[in-house]
Amino acid sequence: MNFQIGFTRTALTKSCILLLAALISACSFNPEPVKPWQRGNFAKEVMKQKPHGLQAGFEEHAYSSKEGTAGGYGLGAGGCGCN
Amino acid sequence: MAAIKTFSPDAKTSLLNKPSNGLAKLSTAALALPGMAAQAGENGYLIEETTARYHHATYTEPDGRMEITVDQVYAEFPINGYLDGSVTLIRDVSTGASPVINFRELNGEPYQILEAGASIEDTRDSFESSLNYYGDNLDANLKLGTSTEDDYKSKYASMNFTQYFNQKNTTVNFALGYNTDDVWNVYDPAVLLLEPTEFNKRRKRDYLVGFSQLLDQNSLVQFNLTYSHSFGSLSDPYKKSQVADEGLIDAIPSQLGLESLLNVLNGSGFSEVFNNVILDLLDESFGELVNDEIDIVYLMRELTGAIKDNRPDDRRQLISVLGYSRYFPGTNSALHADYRYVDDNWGTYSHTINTTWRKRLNDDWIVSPGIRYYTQHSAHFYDVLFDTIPDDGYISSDYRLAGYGTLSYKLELRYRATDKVNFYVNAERYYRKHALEFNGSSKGHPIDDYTNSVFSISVDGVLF
Repeated sequence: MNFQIGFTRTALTKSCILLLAALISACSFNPEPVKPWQRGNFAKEVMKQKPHGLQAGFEEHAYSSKEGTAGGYGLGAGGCGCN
Repeated sequence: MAAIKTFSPDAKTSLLNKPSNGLAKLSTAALALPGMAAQAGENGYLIEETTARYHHATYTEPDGRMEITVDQVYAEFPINGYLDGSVTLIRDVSTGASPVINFRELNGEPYQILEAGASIEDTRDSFESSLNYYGDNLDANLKLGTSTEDDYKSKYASMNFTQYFNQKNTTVNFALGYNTDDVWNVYDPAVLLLEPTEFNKRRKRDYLVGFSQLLDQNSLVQFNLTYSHSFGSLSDPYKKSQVADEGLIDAIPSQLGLESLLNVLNGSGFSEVFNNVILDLLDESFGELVNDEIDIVYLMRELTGAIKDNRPDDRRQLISVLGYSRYFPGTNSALHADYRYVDDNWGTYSHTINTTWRKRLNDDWIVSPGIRYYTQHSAHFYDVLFDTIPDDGYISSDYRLAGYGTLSYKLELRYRATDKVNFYVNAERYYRKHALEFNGSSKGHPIDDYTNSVFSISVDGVLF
């Protein structure tokens, strides 16, 4: 029971710090919304974080099979009996 | 990751440098920037053409450990003005051997026994389908899938909703995930360390909330928070731990060649004969003195103290991911970085830093070097070797629950062969070491250190 409480407190604290960092960044640097015609650079192929979905899925599956923790980038993957 | 609506690929972006009469039309057809969650079926924008992809990958560990080949076939297709769909077929073929147990040397140091005589040869077949809806300010995604192995069956579903705000500079993302798995171990009575088959159930529920925010014309920040609850049988049916107090022999010198001995006994069929013939003869001779527990598994446990992996049947994880992407117009390149923190009630908290620099070399080539660092604290019920079974009964020597770190170097090349055909080549070198654990010395040992290499090639083609 103790470790469950410990997990909640520690994890929530660190998660809140990350969330605050994201919110502060968002509020600090975006006084004016970026207009639709100003978003061309976001559509550049180099701006795709994971341009190949099959490769991204394969990488996530490999990491989750070999590491003790996984996930966080999105949902929708099956479990496996990987050794 | 939550997606920001933006515009179409490079070829169309020249239209976007200034407002135009076609803006409303373009906005309607606006594409979304794929976020950190971009997997197959998650383009984030309504597709207009039917596209097929093929992906082939090899994963190799040295010294006769695991070798995996993966083939994936994927197709995505438009349905109407606000729906598209996709299907993915995956086949993994695994061969090789995996660590089963650590035994103790006379000097107290551990050594590792791989899958003695039970070399893995497993095939995983997966089928996945995705249906995507795109509205003016709301996107939705439904994904259904199955994954089947000799000893594992997984059925899973997820729903994802993305809502756009603030002139589509801000998105909020909600997702639910549902996994229902059956897990068992393939039993071979000719293999000494295998346990008789037990069929078990494993369940997982995931809840994700995320947001994305454009910071300026070149950068955005993203955040995901996922709560993941796994319950049921979470133990590995093939792993064992040596517990000194549970065996007649505290230490087994590796010079005895126990692994070789096990392989000889397994290969010769001794244990199968023992289980199937000798036990029957003893049972006939001694009646109630012999029962089902006196089999080769029981004898191994009594002799060496080899105890089955036993983990808590409830795991709750909280996963935070903070991501940042920035485009550099002067070099036509982009930096992508994310930090992930995972904590759970097993004690296996981890930190991950992942960075990629994506650089367009010319019209046809894009090169993307990357580096990833992962560090993990050991689970509270993990140890390399045990003297006694802990009071709560939880015990594991699975190398994946140890304290360690990993460092991997990655490279991706994209080549545009024609307007409708792209080739990708990916390579990764992955180092797993106990000594790479950040700022810590939680339980673990260099015997579990290994290196793997991953190489993949894939092709995308527009069909019609």
